Amino acid sequence: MIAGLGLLIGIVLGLLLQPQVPLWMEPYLPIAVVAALDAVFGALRAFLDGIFDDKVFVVSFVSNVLIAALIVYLGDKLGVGGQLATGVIVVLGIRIFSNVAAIRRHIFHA
Amino acid sequence: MSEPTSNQESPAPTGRARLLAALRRPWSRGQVTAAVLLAVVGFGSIVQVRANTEDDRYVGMRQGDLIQLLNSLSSASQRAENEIAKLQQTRNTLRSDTDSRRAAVERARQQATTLGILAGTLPATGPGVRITVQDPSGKVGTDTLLNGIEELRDAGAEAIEVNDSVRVVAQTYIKDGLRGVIIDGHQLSPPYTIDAIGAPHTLAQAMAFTGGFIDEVENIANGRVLVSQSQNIEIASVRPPAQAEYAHPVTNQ
Amino acid sequence: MPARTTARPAPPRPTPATPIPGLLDHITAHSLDEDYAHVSAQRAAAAEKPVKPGSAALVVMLLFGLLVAIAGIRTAHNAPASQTNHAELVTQVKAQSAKVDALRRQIDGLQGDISSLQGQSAQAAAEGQSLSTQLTRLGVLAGTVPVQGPGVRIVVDDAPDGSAHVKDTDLQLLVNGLWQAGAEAIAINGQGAKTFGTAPERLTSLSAIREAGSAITVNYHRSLSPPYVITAIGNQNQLPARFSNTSGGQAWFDLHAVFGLRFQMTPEESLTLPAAHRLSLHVATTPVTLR
Repeated sequence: MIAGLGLLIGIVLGLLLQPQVPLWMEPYLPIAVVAALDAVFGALRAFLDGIFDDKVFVVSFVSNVLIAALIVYLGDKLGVGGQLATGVIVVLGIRIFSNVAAIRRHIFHA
Repeated sequence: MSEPTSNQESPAPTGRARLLAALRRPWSRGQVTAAVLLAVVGFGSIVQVRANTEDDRYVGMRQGDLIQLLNSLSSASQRAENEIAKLQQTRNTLRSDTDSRRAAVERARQQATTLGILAGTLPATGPGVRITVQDPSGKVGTDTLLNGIEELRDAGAEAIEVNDSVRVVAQTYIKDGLRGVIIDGHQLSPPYTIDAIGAPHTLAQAMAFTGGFIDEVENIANGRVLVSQSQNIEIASVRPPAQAEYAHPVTNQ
Repeated sequence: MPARTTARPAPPRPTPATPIPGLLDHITAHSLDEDYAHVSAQRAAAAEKPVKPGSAALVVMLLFGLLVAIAGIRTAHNAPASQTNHAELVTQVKAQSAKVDALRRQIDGLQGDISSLQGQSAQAAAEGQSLSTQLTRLGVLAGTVPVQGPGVRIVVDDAPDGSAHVKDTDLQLLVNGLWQAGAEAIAINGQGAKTFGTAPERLTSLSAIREAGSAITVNYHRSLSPPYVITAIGNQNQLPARFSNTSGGQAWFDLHAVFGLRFQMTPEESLTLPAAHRLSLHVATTPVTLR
């Protein structure tokens, strides 16, 4: 699958280039990864369900990452950064679990 | 999972029946699988519990929490140090007060001992002389004994006793009696024994000089005097405890 | 390709009656973006072909890979530092915690010290009080405390024509007579050589009246010359009569009548006798332990 190839190329590029991340952005990287993961699994499930759409994928990916980072950033400013991050991770985590369960059903007929 | 999928002949078995059936057939595929997975869970749990109890309750804490904990411990230690400083000051003041108080009490005790010996309310012991006066002709009287006692005092006698029964103090008086003398109301007959505590040699010398006690007794009163020095004179007589009636301590010293 | 499941129509969103308990259910139920279903339904309605993942998906996955890689690298990079930080913080917390414990123990110790010291102090105060009363009582008798009270004042002097002098034995008899008559405290004064107006000498059990040359010495160091003033505290009404009945009193009667020594006794309402100079014992001790 081309999409899988794209993932591999992206990882290799990241390992090779090792771009310098500005210091203020660093705390938000983990959250961004989890949000992105949620979008990716959602897309995979949609694909297996047969309702995949490029546009929706792009929009959901970008919006997930941006919104998650924004929430945690606001939280940091208000002084409840840790708690909001926890909340966001919880919700994203549940969604990932749920999507993965659906994917599993497709793949293993279990 | 080995479950009775279809009802063949028997009705749906109860949970208990299923459990018993499982116990009877331990080697079915489902049970082995479950065993392996449970083994993994067990292993992981034990590892985690061990790691947790190894005094690492702080390992799981986040940086922010640790910093907060550090701050609160820091202020607790600050408060404790302030408290300690105050308590130490109190204790030091109290200690010096108590020390000086106890020192004062100790001095007072020693003073009470000294006064007790002087006033004759305490028995006394120490080096000194024992003077024995033989008075066959009964001529040793108030004057002689008074003189003798004055000489002993002048020679530094600190405590004096007569005939092992009368303690001589400031207020002691002597007067002639029917057979002997009366000292402080006690009738005493010769031979007289005078015990005196002080420097033995000095006391003995005071008795012996020309015109002194021994001279007076032997040459004028025809008596005999024997002075024996000792390192351990014991004066056991004491005066009954008394309170002065007319003499009162002067207030506002 | 797996059988296409029926596109779920987008139902009107069921708002949960009680949001909190149904929150998890809600999240789980709506974990897949409804946009997918919505767009797919739209496409089916417009009878378009279902789309395969295309270039956009590729780019997004590329970005995703990049993001994952970068995040991974940053975390691995920071891990040692943050771990050290963490380890350092933990060490600090443990050290501080131990310090606070030690300080608390110290506080307990200090409080114990203080309360025991307070007990000792109170005990010493009580003892001091009782000793003080005892010392006063004994001191009055022994002569270490100045006293006042009624009594008599006696003035004796040599014969006016100088034919007879007051001897130490005379004074001894006088004092002896006063004690016999019931005096409680006696002091002697006189003209000191070049020391006028000094205080009388209190008589104690250590006092000796001795003659040395032409002066009489009382209490070893006080050299006195006549006229001698003897003050005695006691019953001022009874002292004179009793004194005259004593051998001392009779002796002085003779001394006065026969030898011309001057003798004058006056009752006094209030006499003050000083304390004796520092009395100390050098060799005498008591075998009795005082409390």
